[in-house]
Amino acid sequence: MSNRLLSALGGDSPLVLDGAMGTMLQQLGLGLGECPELWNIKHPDRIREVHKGYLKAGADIIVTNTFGASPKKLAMFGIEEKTEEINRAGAILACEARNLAGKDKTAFIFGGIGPTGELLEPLGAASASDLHQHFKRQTEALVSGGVDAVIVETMLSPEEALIAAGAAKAVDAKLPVFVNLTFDPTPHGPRTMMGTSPADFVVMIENQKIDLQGVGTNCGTGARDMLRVVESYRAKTKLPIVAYPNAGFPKMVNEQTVYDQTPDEFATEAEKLFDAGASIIGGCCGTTPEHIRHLKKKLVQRSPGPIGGGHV
Amino acid sequence: MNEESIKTALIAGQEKELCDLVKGELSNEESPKSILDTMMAGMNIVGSRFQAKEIFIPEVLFSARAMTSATNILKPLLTKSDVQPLGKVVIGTVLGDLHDIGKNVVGMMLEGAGFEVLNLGRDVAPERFIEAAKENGASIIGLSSLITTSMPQMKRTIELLEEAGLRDQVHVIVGGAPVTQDYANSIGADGYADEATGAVQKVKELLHLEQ
Repeated sequence: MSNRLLSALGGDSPLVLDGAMGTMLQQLGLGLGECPELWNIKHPDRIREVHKGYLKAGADIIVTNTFGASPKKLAMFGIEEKTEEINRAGAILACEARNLAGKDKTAFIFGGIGPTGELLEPLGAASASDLHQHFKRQTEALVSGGVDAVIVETMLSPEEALIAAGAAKAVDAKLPVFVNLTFDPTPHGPRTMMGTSPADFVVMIENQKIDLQGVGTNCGTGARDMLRVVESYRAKTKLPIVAYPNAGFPKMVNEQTVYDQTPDEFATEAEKLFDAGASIIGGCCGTTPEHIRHLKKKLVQRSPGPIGGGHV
Repeated sequence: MNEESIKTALIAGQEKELCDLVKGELSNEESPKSILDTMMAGMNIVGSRFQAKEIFIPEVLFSARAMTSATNILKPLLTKSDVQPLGKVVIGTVLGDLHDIGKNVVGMMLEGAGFEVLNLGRDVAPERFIEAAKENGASIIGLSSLITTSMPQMKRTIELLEEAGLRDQVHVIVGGAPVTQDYANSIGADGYADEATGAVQKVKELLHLEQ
């Protein structure tokens, strides 16, 4: 399975990753303060439907509904003991959706791992070894449910991101692992909340010698600001680059959050991420199956990649 | 007093060095209040560098931690009038939201600027903000939201404040990644800032403390 993924990544064609999960679940009735990952057990049918929607829209990769399912995060809802059940169910639901969509041979399942929300020592109370164990537990459950790869996403701390990546590799050294940080634009270029630049992060990855299959960025900004991030990565690494921006910026309309980019605007901006060197492109907050459908349409026209295009 | 050394140690987040410098100044019979003022001036510099995105969360946290330690040395020596806070602020992340870090940075910056801060933590119900403000005589409530679904809780808190008849006495400031000035205006908040230093400036402005 992972061989199929690696050869797909080695090709000239970009892979399309799915769009937002959280905002889709809100539309399906997820309440305020409710744990979204608990729906893997409570409402498996709804999670499967969201995945199917993205697969039908043309996503090559779907990410499991396990972003906040590290034991540390689940503990905030008092359900740490459900870590195995929730993560395993998340992986199985994505696999079932892929089967129902008739895409067993073409689509990939990425197990999503998000930040714990705690700061590492010495800034905060979390120890590296503790976080390693937590992420390992989450990865083991995702792997037992059948994911093809793990994507560590929306990370603000590069140290925490690499602890998660290292923990995933400790579960299975052959498991493909991707790691995304979230950057803000600053006058000095993109930086994480901790001050890390994309170039800094590449150096950290190289120093720690973690065998990543891709590095990238998601959330935080729309595609336009994300372009700088992809360019910075491309200048420093030959690893495949992952990029999934938000659908522009959030606005409140009648107490509902609306992101300001239409599917077509989003796809037009996101296509430029491919030119800048990203090979896995999708959507984050505010994106819907329609956004992904438009993105796929643009990117299919670009396959195989242009000769001498943005790709190193 | 060696003001520059104190500021330098504070800005660099060198906790032990700063505490040693403070103890040294005290043994030279420097007034505790002027040492505190020097550290506040140092925190001000930390704030403007953070605002200019020259430094980031780790640097701010180290500086704030150093300042807290050094202030603890001074506390028993400060007179009541020395420690009269600029104002009392209740802060917290709203109901349904478990994010913590940004709001804590705002709290530290406010403390560094001389405010008394009551940090209610995360997932705080609107009622608790009102109770805490009432019990402590706070003049500012600071609300943080990092997920769009929790943002309506900000509006709810302002409504409750009105119902409690406290809207004239308490200013409400809001912040967090998805929150904007437009949103702040739309829910009738008194202030918004997109980062911690701006929040301190906003609080000073609302309390007419701007130098």
